[in-house]
Amino acid sequence: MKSELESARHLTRRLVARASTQGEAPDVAAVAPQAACERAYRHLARSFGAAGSQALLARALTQAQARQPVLRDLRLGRQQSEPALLGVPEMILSHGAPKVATALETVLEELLGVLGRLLGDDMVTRLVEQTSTADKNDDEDVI
Amino acid sequence: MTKKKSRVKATVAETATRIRHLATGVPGLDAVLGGGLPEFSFNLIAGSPGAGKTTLAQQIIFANATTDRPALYFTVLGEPALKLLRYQQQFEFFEAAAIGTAIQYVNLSEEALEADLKVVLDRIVAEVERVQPGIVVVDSFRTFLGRTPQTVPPGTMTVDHFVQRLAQHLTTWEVTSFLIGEYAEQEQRNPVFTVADGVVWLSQVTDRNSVVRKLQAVKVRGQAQMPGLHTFRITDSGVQIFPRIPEQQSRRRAQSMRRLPTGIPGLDEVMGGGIPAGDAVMLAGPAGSGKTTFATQFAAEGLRRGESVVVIVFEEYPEEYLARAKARNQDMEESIETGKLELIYLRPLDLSVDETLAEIMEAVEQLGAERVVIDSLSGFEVALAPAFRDDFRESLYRLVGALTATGVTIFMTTETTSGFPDVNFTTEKVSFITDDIIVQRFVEIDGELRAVLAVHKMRGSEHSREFRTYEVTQNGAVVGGPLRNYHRIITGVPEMQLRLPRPAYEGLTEREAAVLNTLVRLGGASKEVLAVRIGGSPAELKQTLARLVARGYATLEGEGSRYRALAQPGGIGWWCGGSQCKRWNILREPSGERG
Repeated sequence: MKSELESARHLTRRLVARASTQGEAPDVAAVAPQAACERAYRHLARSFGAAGSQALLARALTQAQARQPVLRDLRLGRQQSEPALLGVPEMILSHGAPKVATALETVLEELLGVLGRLLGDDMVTRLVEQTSTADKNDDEDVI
Repeated sequence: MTKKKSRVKATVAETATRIRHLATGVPGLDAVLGGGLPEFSFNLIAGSPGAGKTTLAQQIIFANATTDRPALYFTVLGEPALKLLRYQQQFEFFEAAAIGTAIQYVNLSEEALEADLKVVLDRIVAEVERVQPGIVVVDSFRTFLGRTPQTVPPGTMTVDHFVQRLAQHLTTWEVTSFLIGEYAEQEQRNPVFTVADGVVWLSQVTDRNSVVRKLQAVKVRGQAQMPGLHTFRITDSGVQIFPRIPEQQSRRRAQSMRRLPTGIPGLDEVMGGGIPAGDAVMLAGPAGSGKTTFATQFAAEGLRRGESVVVIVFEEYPEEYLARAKARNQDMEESIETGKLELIYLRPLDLSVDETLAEIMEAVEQLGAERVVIDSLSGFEVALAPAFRDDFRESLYRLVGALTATGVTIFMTTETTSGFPDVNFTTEKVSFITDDIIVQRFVEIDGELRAVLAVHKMRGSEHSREFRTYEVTQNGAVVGGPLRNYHRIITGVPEMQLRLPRPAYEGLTEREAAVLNTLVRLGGASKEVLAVRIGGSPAELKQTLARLVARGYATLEGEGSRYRALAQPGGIGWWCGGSQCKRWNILREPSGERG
């Protein structure tokens, strides 16, 4: 259990780091975790369907909210027909970017944790690594 | 004209595209399909829920997908990809490293919920154009088929149109594709069956506590698939198909003159010098008659001579079998370690004959085995799924045929079920499949239970026809001498036979003497009655009787319809029959041709 958590944490850090080095407004601390979350959300939707992806993220969000009350105003939705996390700017205004960033990382961590328990850490690591690599190459959705 | 025709034919042959075949990665499936999967074919994997359709498709894509030519796996409204990945990774063929690169999963549930199939088609085509896969799977295609021209909104794409367009697109993009769907057999008129280049049908039959899975290559365009139903099993390794053994898989190897020593003292002598190499031998006997001991000795003798041996046991665990052999001074464990012996234990109660054969054949090929022991056919029949027991004889025939075609010598045992003292020589009605039959029996002699055997049949070979006693000693079975002084051994209660001189009818052949004896016993009889009593062809009997009359041993009476012997008991000569011999008296010296 502990190793799963560590693995999810480690992966989260890598995904967030990757998102921040890809020119996605690294000056705002919360943007990178949000981008990483939304990218995972989007990728999962391709493989598991919008409903499947939403179910996974909804559970991750519920679990993360228990650990991070800051997240109570975060909603799952769509922006320009793409899956998106709604309410992040408002959360930053209320709680500050660093707190929101940590909270969003928790969401991603929980998401990877759930997936890890369902598919195994190895599989999730590969999925995430392949996704990140593919993103680097052509910014396409590949899982 | 003929020349022109042949030239045209040659040109066509030269320019015709040779279809490449993909190895499916599913053991046995390439053979069933007639040489693998035709590249760029549009295939349907159909069957009932739980039949193994998804696992089969997964195994094929893991065997064929590469990063250069990935596989696109479209999931629709059936098993979600999340669950599919969770469960499929339990199989050995699953490679996590391939996910996301060589194998990509795309969910079409949202498109499938749209009213128009064109949306689904467009998404598939867009993904295919983007990824340029080598293989595409749509799982499950069944979701779309509920839509008929009557149920889809006007102006939207029908299923027929969708299937046709999909097939066109996938072929144009040089994709080998699979549609997976749950269908009932009566749905084979569905347009998808017409469009598909290949149709593989999976089914599972439950009979009492056994489940038998079967696969049929209903259609494989452009090549000759193996007809019929083929059993398959899903294990940790994935799907394994056991192609149905054809009636005549290959011609039987020419029998060699070589004889294999049985390792059972005395038995080789009875069998004319041993078992002809390449023969199928059946040892039939009641419970406790030493069948396993005989079979073990046959196997051990092969090992002793440096041959490789495959032993298939059904009735006892391998450990027990080896311990029993060791107790008789036949240590076989070392041979297993050195790779000279393979001991196969099959007892799952849902076996198919084809599966058994596949297992045996694999072992025979791996070891280059010369001897195969199947102990026993009775246990084998019980181990089969009930659905296969009905055609056990026919299946066994195919199994023995396929094995003997490899040149191995097979030693099978079978338990006789006939009650004492009844006799059932053609045990289990499978004797026709064998070249040689040895029958064991228990008999009562002087108040003791004794074991005897006889070689009942040896195809194309001389053998002893005597009943021999045998004993199963601490060191194994030993065949003893013939029971010459007994007759009616076959009944189980032999009778001591007095060996007295038989009548010597001068000038008569043995057959003529036998006919005369019968005539003497009956007093007089018509030709028809005699024919019934002593057999033989009517012409031959007529000739024999004519000679007896001509030589004065018989006469015709009753206006030539009844023969009467000219001999009576109490005179010269002996006649032996039943349990005793009688002396016969000739009323008058025959005359005529005598001497």
